[in-house]
Amino acid sequence: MNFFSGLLNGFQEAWENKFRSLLSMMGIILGVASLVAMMGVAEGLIRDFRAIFERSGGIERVSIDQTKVPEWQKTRASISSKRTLRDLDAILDNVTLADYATAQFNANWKEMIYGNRKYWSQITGVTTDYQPVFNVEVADGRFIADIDVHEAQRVAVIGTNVLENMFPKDVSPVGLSFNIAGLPYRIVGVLKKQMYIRGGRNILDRLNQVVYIPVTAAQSQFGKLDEVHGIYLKANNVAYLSELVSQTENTLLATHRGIHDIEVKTREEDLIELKKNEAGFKYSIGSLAIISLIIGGIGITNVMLASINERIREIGVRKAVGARSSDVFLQFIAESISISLIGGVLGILFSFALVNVVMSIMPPNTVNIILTTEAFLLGFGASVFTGVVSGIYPAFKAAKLDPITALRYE
Amino acid sequence: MLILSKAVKEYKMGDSLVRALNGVDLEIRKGDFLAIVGSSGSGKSTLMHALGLMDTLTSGTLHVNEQETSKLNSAQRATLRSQEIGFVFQTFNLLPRLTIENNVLLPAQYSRRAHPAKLPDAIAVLERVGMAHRIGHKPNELSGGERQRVSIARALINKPSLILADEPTGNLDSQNMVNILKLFTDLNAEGQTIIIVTHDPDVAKNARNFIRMRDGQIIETDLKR
Repeated sequence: MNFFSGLLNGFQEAWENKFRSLLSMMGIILGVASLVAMMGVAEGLIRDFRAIFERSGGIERVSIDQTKVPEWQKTRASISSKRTLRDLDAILDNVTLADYATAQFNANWKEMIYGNRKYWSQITGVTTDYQPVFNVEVADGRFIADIDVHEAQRVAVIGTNVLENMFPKDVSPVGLSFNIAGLPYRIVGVLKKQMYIRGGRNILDRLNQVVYIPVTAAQSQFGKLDEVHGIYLKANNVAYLSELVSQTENTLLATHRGIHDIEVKTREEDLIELKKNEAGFKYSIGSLAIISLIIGGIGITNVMLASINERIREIGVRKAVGARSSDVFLQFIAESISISLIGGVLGILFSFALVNVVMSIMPPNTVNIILTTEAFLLGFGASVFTGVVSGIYPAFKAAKLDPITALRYE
Repeated sequence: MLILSKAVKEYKMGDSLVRALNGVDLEIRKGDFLAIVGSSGSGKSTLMHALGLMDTLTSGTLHVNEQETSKLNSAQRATLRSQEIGFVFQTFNLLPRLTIENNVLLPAQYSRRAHPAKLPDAIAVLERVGMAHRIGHKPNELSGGERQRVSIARALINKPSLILADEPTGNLDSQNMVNILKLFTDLNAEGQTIIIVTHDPDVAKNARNFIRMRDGQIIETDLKR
């Protein structure tokens, strides 16, 4: 008696007792379907988080934050300085482990005028490297160039919301001039529209609202010369992030005259937090599905016990013609697995229906459900595992039947 | 071929101990056709189960083809049973879900031989019992006599040394009884060793030898060889 013929027996048994088998499989079907569907929900959320993380520079992005002067350097606090373009120049000259480095000047919300149209937007002063560091994509024209920064040119790259609200439709605004807080700027580029719709809204819409101008132009128009509000680097190899941090810290200690008033921060902690959240999602979803599978397993055990009670004479005959207890055990485990396999396949099919129902009930773009091969394999594996576990007791009961007693059973 | 020596089998029934076999000595030789007769409770079924390695002895020994069986575990006994003994039951005991082909090949699944019996062997034994034309049928499509023929084919599939038949005609009409007994006689004539357990003297007459049992002992022996 091999395992394969046991499986065939199980399929035959399930087919001959369709209704009973279907009832016993319900738990497995629902368990597998909910496992696969919930994994899909988790996967959707995880991909959303990852997409946002990547679009904001990914793990390669390193930021320079301003910190308080430490207690032990308080006596020298008067020579502490803000982050400046000198820091950026030093980084560009000395930090070899970064491909790109950029500075950012936040001019906040300013009024813009084009003809008789007015619009408020967030004005951000940047350098050329801002584009690769933040993965900014330009749809029309170009991004801020080195010469724009060097000469503090009044040029601007606008987001699509600005375009849609201020400028004529169907005509490229590149080359047009408009006013930002009273000074004229020439449009050199339009950003690609950023879309990531969740819960009925574009969670990346703020990126369509921005206007980028050269950091130097922003400084001269809106702030103190030289001060910037952020410095960011893009690592050329994430394997050397800690070395990059050291290299940057050493460089900035020189420009800050030995004062520890800056902190170089990587996004590794964010990523660890992200991964923790992912694991948390999966475990909580998995535990819900396991409860369904346990109920499914009990159903299978019940049906297997009923089946064995109906087939006691068969077990006696099999033993009389030479079946060992282990053969009988294997046969009933295989039958249990075959029921759970059918349940697993039906559960996977049902998960598609479940996902469609959830998607149709929820408002558009509220949830992102991604059914993965991993979820299918997990669902299928869980059903087989349930089959094995739930078949052990009935199979053991069948295997230890005495052949003489079994043959006399009426 | 089978040597039973000082066989004792005791059961506990409630508080009392029942001795179903009480010092039975029996030798079965190749080619024997033996009927074990006796009334209900005489110990003939217990003897059959002991000879068929379905049950162990409380004391005494059983040699099957010179192999002492009392030391064998249940798995080893199952394999020896599969290879050396074919069972024919009063109620046929064919598995209703399986076709005749699969019923006949059932013992082959468990024979643990390098080359277990396959379809051509099943066809051959079914031809021998006159049932090859029903190979694709299910047991419930067959008459009682036909089912018993299939049951005999199943017993023959592993080419056992011995066929043990427990009241093989008990559920058959007189015509089918004659036919089945004729089949046993023919098989024995071809060299097959057969033991029939029966309470019916008319059935026992078909065997060449018989033993009569009472109270777990052989009380009459007629072993013409």
